[in-house]
Amino acid sequence: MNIREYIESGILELYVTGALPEDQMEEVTKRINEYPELKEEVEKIELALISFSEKAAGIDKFNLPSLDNSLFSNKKQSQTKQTIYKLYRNISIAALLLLIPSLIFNAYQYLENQNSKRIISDLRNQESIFTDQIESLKTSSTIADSNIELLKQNETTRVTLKGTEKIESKTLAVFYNKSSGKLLIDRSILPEPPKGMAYQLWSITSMDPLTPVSSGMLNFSELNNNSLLLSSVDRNAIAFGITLETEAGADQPNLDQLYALGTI
Amino acid sequence: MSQISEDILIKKIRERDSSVMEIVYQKYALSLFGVIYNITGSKESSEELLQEVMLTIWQKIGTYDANKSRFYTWIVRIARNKSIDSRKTRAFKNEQKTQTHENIVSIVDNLKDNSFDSEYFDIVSFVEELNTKYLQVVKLLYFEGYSQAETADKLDIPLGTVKSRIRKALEILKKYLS
Repeated sequence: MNIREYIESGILELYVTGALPEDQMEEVTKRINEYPELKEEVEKIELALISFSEKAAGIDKFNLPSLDNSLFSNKKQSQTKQTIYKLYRNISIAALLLLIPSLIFNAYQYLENQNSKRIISDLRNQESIFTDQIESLKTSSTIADSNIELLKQNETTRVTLKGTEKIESKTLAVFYNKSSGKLLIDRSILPEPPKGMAYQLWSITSMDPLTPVSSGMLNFSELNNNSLLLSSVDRNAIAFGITLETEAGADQPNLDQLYALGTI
Repeated sequence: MSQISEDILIKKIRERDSSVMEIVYQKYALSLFGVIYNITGSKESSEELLQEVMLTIWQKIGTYDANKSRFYTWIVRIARNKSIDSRKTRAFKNEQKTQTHENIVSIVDNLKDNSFDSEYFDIVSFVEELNTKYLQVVKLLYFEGYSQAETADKLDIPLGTVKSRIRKALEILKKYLS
C-alpha cells in the first residue's frame, strides 16, 4: 500500500468525521493499527478538528460549566452492586467449600446409617432368636419343674422297661404315678424315629388275653432337650410297651416293631 | 493524571471509575461544546446537552467498539445526535434545511467571537482560506453527521470531490490550528 497516496486520498479525514460506511471504518482502523504513519496522521486530523470545534465554541474553556459529577452517582450504586456481587460470589464460594465436605460427610453418615440399620436389624433378629430361646427354656424349665414335682411324689414309682434288640436290649426307665395316671419316660436311649414314623405308648391292662390300650404318641419333634416325656396312661395298666408306628398311630401295636416292654 | 492515555480512560470508564469522567471532560468538553453549539445555536441548550453527552458516554461506553471508530469520533457522534434531536424538538427542523449558508456564517462568527488567542491566530486569513465550499463539507460531515455519499448528494458533487474537499479543509485547519 502506498501510504502517502492513502493519506492524500482524504479517506482519513472522512474516517475521523465518521462519514464512512461501517465496513470501511473497520478497514481503516485495521490499517491505522498496521501503519504508525497513518495513526500519526489520524491523530493530527483529530487534533485539528478538536481545535476547530473549540474555536467554533464561541467561549473559552474557563467559561464552560463545571461537570455535574452527580450524574455518575450510579458509581456508588455500581460499586454497591459490585460489592454485593462480590459478597454473593464469596458467599457462594464459601457455601460451595462447605457443601463439598458436607456432601462427603453426609455420604459417610448415610453409609454409617445404613450400616447401623443393618446391625440393628441383625440385633433384632438375634433378640428374636434369644427371646424364642428364652421362651423355649422357660417352657422346658416349667416342664422340668413339673416332672420333678411328679418324681418327688411318694406315689411315683420307677418302672424298668426292657429294651428289645432294636435298642440293643438297653433298659428304659419309666416313672409312673398311679394316682394321677401320669408317666414319665426317659427317652434318651430311643433313637430318633424315621421320617413319617413315631413311637406309640401302650398301656397293657391284661396279659391274658393281651390287652393293649393306646396311651398316645411320644412326640419327639419338640422339646428335644428334654429327655423325659410325659404321658397319661390307663390307671389299670399292669405293664407298658413302646412300638414304632406311623405318625397317625395304630389301633393295635405292631409287635414286630416293639422297642421296649416292662411290667409295673 | 491529565496525560492518561485514551485507552486507559476508556478502560476506567468501563470499570465504572467515575473519577476519570472529569479528565474526559477537561480533554473534550470545549470541543464537544463547539459541535453542540454550532448545531443548536443556543449556549444555554448547549450547556445542558454537554452534561447529557457526558452522561451518555458514561452509560453507553459498553457499546463503544475501538475497531469501528476513534473514541473522539464516537463521542462527537453522541454530541451531534443529541444536538440534532434537540434542534428538531425546538422547531429548528424546517429552518436548517434551507439555511446551510447562514449556519456557515454563524460558524465563522463563532470563530471570530472567540478572540482569546487572536494574538496568535490570524482569523481573517483563516476564514478567507477556508472558503465556503470547504466549510460546507466540514459542516455537513462533522457537525451534521452526513455520510460521504449524503454530502455528495446534498452538494451535488462527485464522491471524490467530497474526499478532496474535506482533505483540503483539514489541511487548512491543521495549518492554522495546530
